[in-house]
Amino acid sequence: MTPDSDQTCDLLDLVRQGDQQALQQLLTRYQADLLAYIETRLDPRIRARIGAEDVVAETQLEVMRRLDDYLQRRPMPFHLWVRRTAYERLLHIHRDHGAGKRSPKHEERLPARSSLLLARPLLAGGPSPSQEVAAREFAERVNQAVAQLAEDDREILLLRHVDDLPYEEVACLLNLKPAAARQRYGRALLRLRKVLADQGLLEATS
Amino acid sequence: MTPDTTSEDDALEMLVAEVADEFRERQQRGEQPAVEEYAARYPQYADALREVLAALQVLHPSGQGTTVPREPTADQSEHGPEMATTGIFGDYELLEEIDRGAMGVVCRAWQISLGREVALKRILAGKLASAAEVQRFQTEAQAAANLDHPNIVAIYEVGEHDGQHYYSMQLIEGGDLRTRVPQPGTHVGKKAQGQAVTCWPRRPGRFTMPINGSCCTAT
Repeated sequence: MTPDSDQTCDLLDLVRQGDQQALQQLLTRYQADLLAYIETRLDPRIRARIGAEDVVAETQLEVMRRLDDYLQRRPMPFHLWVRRTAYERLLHIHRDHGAGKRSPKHEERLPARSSLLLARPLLAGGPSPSQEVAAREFAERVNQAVAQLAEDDREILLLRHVDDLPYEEVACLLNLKPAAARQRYGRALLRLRKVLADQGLLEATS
Repeated sequence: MTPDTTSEDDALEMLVAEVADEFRERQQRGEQPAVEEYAARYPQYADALREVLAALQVLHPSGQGTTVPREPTADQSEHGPEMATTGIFGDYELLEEIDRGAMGVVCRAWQISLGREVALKRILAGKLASAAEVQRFQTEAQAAANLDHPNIVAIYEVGEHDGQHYYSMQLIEGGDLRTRVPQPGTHVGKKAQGQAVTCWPRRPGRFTMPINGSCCTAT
């Protein structure tokens, strides 16, 4: 597992000694990373009401509230713990605003940015304009399909395929044992296969 | 979705993860693993594996195997592409982002030890791939630092902090030349005659217009 940088460890030591300024610096240090993480995952339908910056602020509050407990146990590196806190905030917000519920069939779901990230490699396209258009259309259909996955399925695909994290870190982030994380990944792939097959997107490649 | 948690489903899920991981690892090594190899190895799950591997290839078309742009992971991400634009960076307190390009981010910053405002350019982690490129970056910045001319922005410091290369330079207030020069200003900045002027790849936005109206090259 990637350990925290020396600087982060130093700041954590200072925070433990009650240094308020160090706490500010620590939070600032992770702000950009948090914003990027949350922007990728925040449901676009909720974005109109709650901005990614608001979720960052809520996460920082939560980090401050639970920091004493974290410092006593240090169950995982700080950088992972911050992301995990953000992920829990997002799940909470999505649940409160009903984003996790399936929408009626006729209503097209807007893909979250996480789906776009997963489909991004497809946008490379081909040498000719028509191939490029075809690639874009294909990527768009994959987008729509991936957006139909449940949030936790999409999340683990994102962590494995885009963030390229090892199971150990994925497990930390999702509060699972590494073996369970692996199984969850297998399950997400099986569900991905189903949504892609339903859209007729698997025949095209085989 | 109906979660079936029979042991057979568990076994299939574990196998799918294992096969997918191995398949991707081999692709990452530059191999072209055959789907049928896995279908033959686990005949009882052949159909499921064929489709899952096809789904994997939808996400990672084979020609480009592993070209998913790798997001900064873990510690790297602390100063990776989503570079912080506030906070403390070595001797500098970052104040706000001025410009962002493919190579890095330029921020207005306060140099703590000398108590002055500067423009600080940090190069994105991973953008200077080889030791030779790092060397070139430093040589160029040093060369620019040795130039002393009213129309060339002064480079104050070149260095590395926390694994990130940076240089600080004179902060020019006064706005963007994009609004002043109709064509990308190819002659701008060629004022230090007789001296070797180092050329970075330039865009119109890379020039700033100081308040007195003469031209300066920035990054």
